[in-house]
Amino acid sequence: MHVSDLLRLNGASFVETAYSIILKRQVDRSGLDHFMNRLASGDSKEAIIVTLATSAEAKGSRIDLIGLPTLIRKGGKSPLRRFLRFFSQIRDMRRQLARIEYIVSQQENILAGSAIHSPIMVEDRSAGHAHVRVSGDDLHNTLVSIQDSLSNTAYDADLFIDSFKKTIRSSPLFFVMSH
Amino acid sequence: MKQIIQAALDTSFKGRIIQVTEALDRADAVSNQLIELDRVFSAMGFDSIIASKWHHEDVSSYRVNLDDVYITESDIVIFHSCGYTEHSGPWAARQYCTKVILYHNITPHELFSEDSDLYKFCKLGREQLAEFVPQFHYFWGDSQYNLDELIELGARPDRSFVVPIVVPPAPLVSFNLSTRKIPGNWVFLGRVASNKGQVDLVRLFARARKRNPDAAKHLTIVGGFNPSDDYYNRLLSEIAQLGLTQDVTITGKVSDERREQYLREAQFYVALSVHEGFGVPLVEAPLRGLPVLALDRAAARETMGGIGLHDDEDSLLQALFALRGNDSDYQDLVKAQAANASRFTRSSVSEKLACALASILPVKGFYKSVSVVICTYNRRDYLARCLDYLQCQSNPNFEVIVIDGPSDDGTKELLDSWRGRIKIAENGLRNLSISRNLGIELSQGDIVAFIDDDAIPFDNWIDRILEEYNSRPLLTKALGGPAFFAGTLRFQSEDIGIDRHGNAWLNIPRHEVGQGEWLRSCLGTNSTFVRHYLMDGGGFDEQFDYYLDESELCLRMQLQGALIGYAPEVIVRHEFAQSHNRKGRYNYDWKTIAKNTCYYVAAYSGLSGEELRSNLKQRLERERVLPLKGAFENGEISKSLYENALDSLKKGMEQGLLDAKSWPKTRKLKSASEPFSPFSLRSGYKAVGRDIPKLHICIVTKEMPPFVPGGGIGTLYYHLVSELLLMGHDVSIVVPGVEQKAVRQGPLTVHYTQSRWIEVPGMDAGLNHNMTWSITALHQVIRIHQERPVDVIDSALWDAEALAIAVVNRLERPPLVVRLVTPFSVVAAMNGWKVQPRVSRLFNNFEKELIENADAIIPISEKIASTISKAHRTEPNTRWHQSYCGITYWPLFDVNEDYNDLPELKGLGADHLENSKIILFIGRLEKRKGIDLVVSAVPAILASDPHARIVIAGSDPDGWQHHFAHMIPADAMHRVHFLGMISDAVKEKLLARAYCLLFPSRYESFGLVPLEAFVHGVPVVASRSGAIPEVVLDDVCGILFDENDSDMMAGAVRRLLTDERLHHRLSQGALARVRKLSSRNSAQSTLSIYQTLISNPEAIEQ
Repeated sequence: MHVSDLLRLNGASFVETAYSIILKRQVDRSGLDHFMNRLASGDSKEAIIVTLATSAEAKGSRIDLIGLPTLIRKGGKSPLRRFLRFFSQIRDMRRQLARIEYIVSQQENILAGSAIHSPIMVEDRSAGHAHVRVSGDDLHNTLVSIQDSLSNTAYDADLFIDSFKKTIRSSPLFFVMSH
Repeated sequence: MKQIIQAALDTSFKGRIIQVTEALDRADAVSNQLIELDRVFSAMGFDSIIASKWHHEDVSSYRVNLDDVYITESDIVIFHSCGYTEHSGPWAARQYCTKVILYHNITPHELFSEDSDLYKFCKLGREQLAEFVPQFHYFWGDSQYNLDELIELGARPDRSFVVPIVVPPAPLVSFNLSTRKIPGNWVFLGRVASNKGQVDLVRLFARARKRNPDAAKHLTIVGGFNPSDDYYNRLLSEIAQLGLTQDVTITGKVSDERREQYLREAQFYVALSVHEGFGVPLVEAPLRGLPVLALDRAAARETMGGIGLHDDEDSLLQALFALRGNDSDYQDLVKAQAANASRFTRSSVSEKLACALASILPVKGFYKSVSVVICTYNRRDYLARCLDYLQCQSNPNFEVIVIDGPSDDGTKELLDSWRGRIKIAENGLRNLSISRNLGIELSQGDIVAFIDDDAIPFDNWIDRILEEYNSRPLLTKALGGPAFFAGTLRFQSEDIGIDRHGNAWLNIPRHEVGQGEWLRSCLGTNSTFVRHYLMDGGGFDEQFDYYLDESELCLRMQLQGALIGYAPEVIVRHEFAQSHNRKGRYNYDWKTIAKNTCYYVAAYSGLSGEELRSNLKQRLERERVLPLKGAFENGEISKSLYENALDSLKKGMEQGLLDAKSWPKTRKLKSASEPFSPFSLRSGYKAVGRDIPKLHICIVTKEMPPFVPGGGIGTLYYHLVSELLLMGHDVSIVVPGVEQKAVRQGPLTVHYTQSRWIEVPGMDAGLNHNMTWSITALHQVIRIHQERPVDVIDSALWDAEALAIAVVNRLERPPLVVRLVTPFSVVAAMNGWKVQPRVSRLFNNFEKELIENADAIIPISEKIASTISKAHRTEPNTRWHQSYCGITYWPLFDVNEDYNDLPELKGLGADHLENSKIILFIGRLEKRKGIDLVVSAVPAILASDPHARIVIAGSDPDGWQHHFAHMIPADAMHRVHFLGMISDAVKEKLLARAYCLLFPSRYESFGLVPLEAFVHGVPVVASRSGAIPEVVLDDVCGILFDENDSDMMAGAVRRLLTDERLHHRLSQGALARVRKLSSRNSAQSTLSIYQTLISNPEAIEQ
């Protein structure tokens, strides 16, 4: 595998694959949490690869990852980010990227959580789990009207909230209250 | 119906009464009785059902299909027996519930000709009846005559009751029906069959006619017949031979109206039946002014109360002639017989029925008290916790008995502090069954409930136990429930099956219990028994020092005819803690396990000799040796451990087979004289069901371990949910998922909710995501609310997950509680996120809107309250109720992590841990966490005590380990250990060995790590920043230093190292502090906030 192949992966699957190639083992819960947090707080994937590859655990083992020595020499900085450093006015792009990566990682987290538990959940146990099916029409309609009504207000925070409130309050989503 | 209700039993029985018959017919005495009893049961308030295989269309509305009925152990099945049944009898016999035979009599087959269908039907029927009797529990007959037959077949007389057939009063007749009595008219009702004696009746009629033709003008035989039946044809030829063709009518089956007419036109009802189990027409006739003259055979005497009976035909005929001539005697007889009929009115039968039911069902409040028995051995802290939580029970009618094994870990001192409030006994042997039997002997409650010392009962445990026993038939002699496995929020097991080989079937489907080999067992840590039954039956078999103890008792009880119930709402939380029998994942007491398995199988399987031996060998190989071998080959266990295990299994097997020779090892239990001694409950504690209503709480969160991994918010909700469940509330959690599904574990339901993505053009992706999720969550909560009303919704500020819920008008949704955690702006600043100002404003507006619309705001610390009010320029008001997070005040050591065994960690060996004072730092090695302060303080700390050792655990993205090497003298460096990232299990184990914890963090919204240290009595040296001073009280459970002052930090550690008394005091303070910030206290304060919202919805508006 080439480093660039590994870098193409995101979130949990990136961490899992990095572990399996570099440390030759499955990632543990705390490891996964830690590196997901690092990704969330803005660390680059390159840096994480370097951390793993230079860790005590990896010491002495042969790592089949083409391009790794170069990456270690560069200290885990991605070419894109080295390029960005030339433009001090957009230096903070790195943090911006990191935040987006955090958002992606949240999605991954959901996937990871579901993937871990679904084999237990779907098992058919008559006394156990009720499966719920959602028609989703009301939800879908609400989302579409939110999309319509907010499209023009996304640039104005106050208008946005107002519009959001109105749409929710007039949507087909309502509680059937007994009082 | 009013009288029936008066006769009804005062009971809380909640099962169903299911009457079973092969075919429900119309105009048939047995079918009529089913329908009558169904009415009576319903009038008594029971859930009553008739189930049949076949039915007549006219009565289809009364019954359901037999194959569609699923029985639970709470139900009562009443099988109506009156002949051979292909379906209903065998069906009823194999149900696992209270079973009653209601016997209507099967005519002896000898009365029929051998080649007739009736002969076969009755012969097979009687053979089947003999097979059924041992499989049923109670025996009802519509006459003592019938009952005696069952008793002869082995029915227990004390469980046998007469439940007569209901004979309703004569109906009013329409005007066009002739009801004038015609002198000389005889009538008899009954299917044409030899036991009914119709041939003899025709002969008698002929004799009477000969003597006086006016006395016997016409004979009507009302009843169905089979034209090809021998007896019917004999009857026809008899009539022809006697020349009575014109004078005898055989009607066949007739309408009710015709039947009425025949009864009312006749002068005499004459019955020469030789065999009747009851004889409904014998009661019906006098109710229509018609006297009955019958032979004194079978149940006729009982039915007729002895009035109008005759030994033979001659005396019967004589009486008939006498009555003809004496109208007053005629009327007297009718009157006396009609008076006898009152024994069979609905209300009379209801009284009999109530009597019969009284032996099956408990009267309301029959079971009043529980004796909780805890057997313990060297688990002082767990025992303390169990006793602590028992004080929160909602029902006070219980006592606590602790049986202490030969403990030497301070358990005795703990028990001394409880003396007077609980009953205590000692068992010098490490034998659980002996301990349990000692507990039974000390108990005085109606129910004995066993809970393990490492378990915690739900607050409504006692209440539910009593309620369950009081709502089930009396045959329920034991009852078990599920256990939440600590740390997982999942059931360790629910219903359990057991067989005669000691095989267990975890989570056995309910309908499989009682089928084939499978019977029910209870989880030892949540098993309850009827006390007198235990006392009478010898309690636990004392062979079982550990393993299969409750399984054997459960099996034995069921083989003796008792029922064991499963109650999903009788719940405990179980730790599966370490013990002398269970030291690690593969480190069990294998010898005992093998010994007791073999004893059990030898006692109950029916195998013996070589067959038994080879069966056991294979069994142990498959169940024990193979997994151990796998663990050994994977390097999970050492060779010596593996070999020892094999040796133990072998020895155990031999021992077990030897012990089986003296099976059973039960003993006569003797009740102690000590009276029932009620446990004292925590005063002022508000319990669910007693002081406060049970709530349905819905939590919306993206983090909920172990279902969805997460950080601080996840930890907060994990502890909160655990406690809310223990308190007896229902919790639904809305978490994101890749597919829509609900996972239910008793009172907890996790709703995985699929978020649908829509893109709002121009909107920041993160905001877009948060908004979409909040709308999806709203949708999900609405659906949950539809299924079961939600009392309160709880969510955290982060990502404004409950925004869409918050903006719904306040009175149009359940109240919403929002927990204040670190706001977006602070996290973004701390992490150096660069966010466009307009995006940032939107994030802030989301949070602000959420806070403004929530019904209650819970800042998790005072600091966070001030941070938020500053960030959002909003003043705390009456909706704000500060409440700290809480964690369980005991450590969680997991069997799968080998409990508290700590492997050597990167050069930090066991001897280091034993002989040093470990100064621990846990967290990411970064400035925000104050690692730079640790670097500066290390030399001074190490210099102050030669036994001090610094252990640093956490990821090191910035290479701080390298800095240390430069800044700390080489001779000191060997006392500094860098562990890198550690697992939660290792963290727990390190904290258990730490001398103190360094917590120099520069910002914390709460500070869970110090709390985790307090669990182990570890004092914390912490920075005076963020919310830390609220958690770590200076000079009480730790020492605070000024932010950024590493000298002050080093000084604080030096004081701790050199002043043992100070260390001891702070350590005690730490333990007290975590008790104060316990998850139970936190959940209680949360609940009181919920309460204000629910009890006073108007307050929300203001």
